[in-house]
Amino acid sequence: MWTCGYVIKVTCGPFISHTHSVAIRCVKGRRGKKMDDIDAMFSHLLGEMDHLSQSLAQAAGSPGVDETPQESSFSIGFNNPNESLDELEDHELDALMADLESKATEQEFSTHNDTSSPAGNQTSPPAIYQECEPVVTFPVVSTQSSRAVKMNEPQTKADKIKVALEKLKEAKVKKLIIKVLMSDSSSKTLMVDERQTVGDVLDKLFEKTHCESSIDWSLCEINPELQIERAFEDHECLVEPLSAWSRHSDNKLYFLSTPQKYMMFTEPQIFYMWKKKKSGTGDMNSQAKELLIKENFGGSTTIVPNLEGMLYLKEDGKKVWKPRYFMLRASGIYYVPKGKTKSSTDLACFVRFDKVSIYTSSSYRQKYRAPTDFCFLLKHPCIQKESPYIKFLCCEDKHTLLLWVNSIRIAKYGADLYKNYQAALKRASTVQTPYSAANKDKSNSHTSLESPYPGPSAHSNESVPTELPPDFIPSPPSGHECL
Amino acid sequence: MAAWDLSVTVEDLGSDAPPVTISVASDLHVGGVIVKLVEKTQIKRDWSDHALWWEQKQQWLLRTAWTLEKYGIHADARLVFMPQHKPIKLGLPNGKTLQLKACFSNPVFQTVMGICRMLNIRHPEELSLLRPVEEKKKKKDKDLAEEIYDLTEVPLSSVSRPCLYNGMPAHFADSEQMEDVYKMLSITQPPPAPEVIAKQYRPASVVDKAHINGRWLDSSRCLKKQGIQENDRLWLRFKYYAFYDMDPKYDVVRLTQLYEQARWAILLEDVDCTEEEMMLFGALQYHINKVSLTEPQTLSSSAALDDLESALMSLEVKMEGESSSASEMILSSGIVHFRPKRLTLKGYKQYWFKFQDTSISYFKSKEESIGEPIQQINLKGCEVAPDVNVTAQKFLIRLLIPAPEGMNEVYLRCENEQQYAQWMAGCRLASKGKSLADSSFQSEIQSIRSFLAMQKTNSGSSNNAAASDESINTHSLVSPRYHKKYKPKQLTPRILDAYQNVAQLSLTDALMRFLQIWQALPDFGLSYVVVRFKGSRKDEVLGIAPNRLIRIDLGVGDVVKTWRYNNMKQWNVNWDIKQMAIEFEGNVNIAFGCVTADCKIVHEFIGGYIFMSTRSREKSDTLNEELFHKLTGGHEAL
Repeated sequence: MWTCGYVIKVTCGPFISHTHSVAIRCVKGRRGKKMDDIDAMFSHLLGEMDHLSQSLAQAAGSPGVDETPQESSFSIGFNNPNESLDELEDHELDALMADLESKATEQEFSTHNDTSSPAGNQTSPPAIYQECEPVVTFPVVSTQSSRAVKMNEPQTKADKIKVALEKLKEAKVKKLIIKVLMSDSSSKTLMVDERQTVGDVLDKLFEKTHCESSIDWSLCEINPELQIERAFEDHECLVEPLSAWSRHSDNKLYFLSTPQKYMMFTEPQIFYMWKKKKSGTGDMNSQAKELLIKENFGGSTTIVPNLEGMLYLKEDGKKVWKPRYFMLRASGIYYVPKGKTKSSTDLACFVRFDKVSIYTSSSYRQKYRAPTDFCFLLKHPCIQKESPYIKFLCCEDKHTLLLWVNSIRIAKYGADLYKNYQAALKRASTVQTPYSAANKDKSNSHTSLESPYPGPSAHSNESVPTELPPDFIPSPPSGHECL
Repeated sequence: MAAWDLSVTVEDLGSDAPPVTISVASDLHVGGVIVKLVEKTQIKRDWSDHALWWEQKQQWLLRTAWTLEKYGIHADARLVFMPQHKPIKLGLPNGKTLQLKACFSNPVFQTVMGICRMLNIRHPEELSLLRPVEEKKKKKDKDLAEEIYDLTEVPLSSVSRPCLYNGMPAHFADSEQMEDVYKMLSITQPPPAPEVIAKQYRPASVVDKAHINGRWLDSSRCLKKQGIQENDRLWLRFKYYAFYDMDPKYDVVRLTQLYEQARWAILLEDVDCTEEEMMLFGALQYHINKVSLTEPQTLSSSAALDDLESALMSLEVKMEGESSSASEMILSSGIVHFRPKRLTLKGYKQYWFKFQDTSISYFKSKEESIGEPIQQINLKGCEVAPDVNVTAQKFLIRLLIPAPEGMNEVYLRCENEQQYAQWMAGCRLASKGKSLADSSFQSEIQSIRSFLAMQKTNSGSSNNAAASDESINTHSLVSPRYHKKYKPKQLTPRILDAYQNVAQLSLTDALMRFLQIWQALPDFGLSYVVVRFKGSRKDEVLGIAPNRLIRIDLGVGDVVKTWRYNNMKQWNVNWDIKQMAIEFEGNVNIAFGCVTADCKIVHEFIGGYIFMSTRSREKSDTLNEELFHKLTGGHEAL
């Protein structure tokens, strides 16, 4: 029954064995506390691949690239002249990417035919371009080719890009160019790779927007079709949920101040003493709050608020919302079946949290005839359209919604949430001085894009456009522009 | 001063021997009495552990510099000269019995400290001793002598400074026998037979749960004073549910025994959980048992190193997969029957399937499998559920694959057990984003097969349970409630379902996960006492938690009030009318009498928890015994 039929093309042999040696070096490096930079490896890889130059398609992923670097202190050493050459090309590629991004928005419209708004920088193009998707990138590349001809390269730059993009795809480090909308409907564009967390991206955005780095800022995903939104948690890798968006999605990514984000830490009594009416919990001193946090997050187990109460449930595929008594536990949301008691053994499991995320909705009274507008839903992040696999719940009032949504976040993310909060606090207190912080906070994967720029070679090159998005150069205080 | 005769019973001479009479004066100090006594017996031995016990006053004469007069001892005093350390039978959280010498003369708090030092359990303040629940023994059972692990030969002096030898405290490394004792302490017990669980006492209500708490010994008095005799049976249990600084590196015995206590609390429904949680606990128990058989004593190895090792390992596997034999890239292909849910009526159709990376593709036939597949399904992030019945030869894999439109439900029907195990393992790994080249693939297959084996044996005879690791009766993993609700083979797929999320955990991680889920239960850490509130005519239940008190109205059956310790201003005990009064901030006063436990026990619980909360990292090395007694001692402390 078990037959094996897969053969890797022989031409790939040398390449594969090469990546192995790289991979080993990478791991050994970590052991010795001195880490080879992943980007150096990558560029080295590019070089090797150029030499081989053919049959890239079979390179079924190199194990080394999966390793996440822990330090970025590695300065790119040029042991071999080829490598430096490749390195340079890599920079130019980055610059071009940046250029494309700023210039080619119109081009993008043609590929995403669902976005309209012909002119003006107030348009809202789709927020996400899959870099490794040829459909999206090819038209862009062609507009650049005229300029790239100026280069004294044997190949045209466009071809280079094409090849490089394929390489990127091969290397399996997925990168996305994202467009983040601001509350004032301006936007910022940046590139993220799959290793970057939302926290890293927020750092970048603080740098770019010069807004005050408070713990409240979030990246929110908005799905207009379902009229829902969710603020990503800081520890999530941004690329992953974004990859779940369908290609012609209207979904948008917002950079917003969300005061609820860490409310469970700033006002823990709201959640852990929710049974007491507001009068009793309003004036809690900071010492008592700290104790609550310590009790519920400080131990080896995160304690989930023991929330319970009547919520309206939209039954699968039906229009009616039925009231049911729900209880929150660390292991999921349960309801009390008809005629049963609230005792643990009687409870029926409504949903567990490992596969679903929580979203808040807007105007569900109108859209789904919900009893109130204070609804939330639980769904697998991949689901983008209405489906019986989405669990819709509706709360009596705004406060109840706040309790449930954030308590569910505690149940789902547990200790991660607390770590995020502590990191956010730290970030908010250190990012007062933008420059030092900017230098310190540069994320690992970002170095490959940024570090080359101080070098004169890149600037002397004519093809480097002057109005790069600030993401790709150390940004002057007011030098950024909206697309 | 006039001399008079004092008769002292010397226990070592035997129970029939007459008391030894010595001539003393009232200004003779206790030390002098002992010297005279020892001379008179003419026995040469180490008497250093011996002391005098005053029968009538139920008091030890431990201050050897005090005179008889100061103690108020006259000729009519019945004194007994005996060792302060005597053997007791100690029931451990894991159900095993240990015989060891415990201190009968110091406060129980110190007795527990001594026991924990011997057993290598850190933070003895969290544990205490209680009188066991009498087991209704049938005559048949009486004949079955229970196994007793003997620690009485351990010299008391040798355990004062624990140093590790071969990964265990030195006094356990002396002999093979001692090593066995340490193994019993530090390795989890196999799942108990379902009959054993069923036979144990199970509290049916919150009032039942309250009774156990009346059995705690008083920490500020000695064993002798509380009527404990030599060779009596006592239980050692974690009493305060505030486990400080749990470190698998140093806490092997502590962690194991805590797990055992938690496991029994779950199995006997001492703490309530939902069915889903029970299945997860069951899966964890199964996994812990399995791993402890294969990787014993690895608790102390460094986690960081393990990570690196496993990273290297998986890298090696990957490399092998790619370089040595290209064939391993697609680890399996074969005929699998396929049914998307939408086409329920059509039943299953046969396709040629290929598994590659995290995707499965299917083709009309093997011949066409070189070309484009009919469909390729990426399983990353999907839900994988088994639908298996070995006796009926049904091997279904149910896949719920997320897509923008919702979940796609797909069933794969495998032809036999072997194919099922491989495809199931593949699907599971893929759903976690791991390819078949992952190092855990084989172990995943193995664990699926052992689960299938479980179903097989269970469907046969259920009496030969726990014969081997492969044939655990699933009823051993859940509380008796589910013995009635489900047959073992009905439980298997449910536990298997929960098992996939924990199958990759190391022993330590699995133990910790078990404890975490236990600690996250809403009723965790509550010790109940039946009380009567002042002015109330009915019994109510007071729940004592690490951070709060709750009042449970038995009529309502629910928590009606919560008071947190950090709002507590003071508490008082009226020993005469056995009532406790507590004052909270904001002029909240409560008072209650204790029905099922002495109010000293309740007082000690509250004071004990406040003591537990004062522990901090800087001070954790030294136990502030004085503070404990101050907070829990009541009038004894004065």
